[in-house]
Amino acid sequence: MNTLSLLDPGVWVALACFTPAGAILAWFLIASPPLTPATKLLLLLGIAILPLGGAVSTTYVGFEATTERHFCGGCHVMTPYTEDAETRTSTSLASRHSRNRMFGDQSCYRCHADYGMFGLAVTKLGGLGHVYHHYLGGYRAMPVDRFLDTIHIAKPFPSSTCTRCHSTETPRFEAVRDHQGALEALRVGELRCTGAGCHGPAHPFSKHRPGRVDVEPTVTATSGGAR
Amino acid sequence: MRPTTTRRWLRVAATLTLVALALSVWSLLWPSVVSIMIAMSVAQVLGVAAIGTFAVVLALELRLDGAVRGALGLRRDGGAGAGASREARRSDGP
Repeated sequence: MNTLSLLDPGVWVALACFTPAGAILAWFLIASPPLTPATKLLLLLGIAILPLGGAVSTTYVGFEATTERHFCGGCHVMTPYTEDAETRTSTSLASRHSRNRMFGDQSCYRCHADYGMFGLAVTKLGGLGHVYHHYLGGYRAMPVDRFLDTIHIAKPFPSSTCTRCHSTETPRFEAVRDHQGALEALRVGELRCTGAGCHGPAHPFSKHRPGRVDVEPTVTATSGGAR
Repeated sequence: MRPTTTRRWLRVAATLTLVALALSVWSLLWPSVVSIMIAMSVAQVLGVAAIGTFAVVLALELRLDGAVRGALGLRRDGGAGAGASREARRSDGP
């Protein structure tokens, strides 16, 4: 049992809704009471009102759970990424950001989430694509080494995600000569912060490896949405 | 809708809800990729199906109830309806 989940008030709200609902339904199924208006009112509580309240809480808790790094690592092919992020001695961008409290255990989500108007829905849809590829696309049986060699990020990592926190208008940023020359290209998306020549790659496995075929991927697993 | 049919469909709705509740509780107490995905997809579909079934049964019950009351000429408050009033007026004539 994940003890962290029990600290979430949403879990307790859901259980507080589900327990009486389950009791009402079990009573109806076992005792078969006469269908009086009171029975129907109880069924309204047990089938509709209480489960709806519990469903809202469960959805909230579920969405929160999908933003955790251990959730991303639930698929074995993601294990090297999550292990690197959790390694305190690693100097990769992902690991350094994971040690930041703002990212913490949600570091995958904080970097890979879409922050547009429909960001949450877009991110979750991307995650559903990952689930599809994992269970029906053959990645479930794929060895990790082969996965690292063949799977690419679906679309280039947007620098706008970096600049949400790292302002490009501070004296410290502007003091770096490379930044001055690259700023315009960065803003129009021609240059990326996570590029190998700048601050990347974000994950050690993103580097060009001998024998790796760097072609435009036809199937992608690690899209802009982390889950 | 006959009472036995009503009860049967209510039992279906109750069973669907119980299964949905069980799947949701599983994801709350033992969160994992599979349990959370199932709770947020299968359980929600089952829950919506249960509520839909319950709503249809209730709607049919209410319609049946209304039809019976209409045939008997009874008002909702249990008093005499339009048909009964006409009878009363006729008997109280000049």
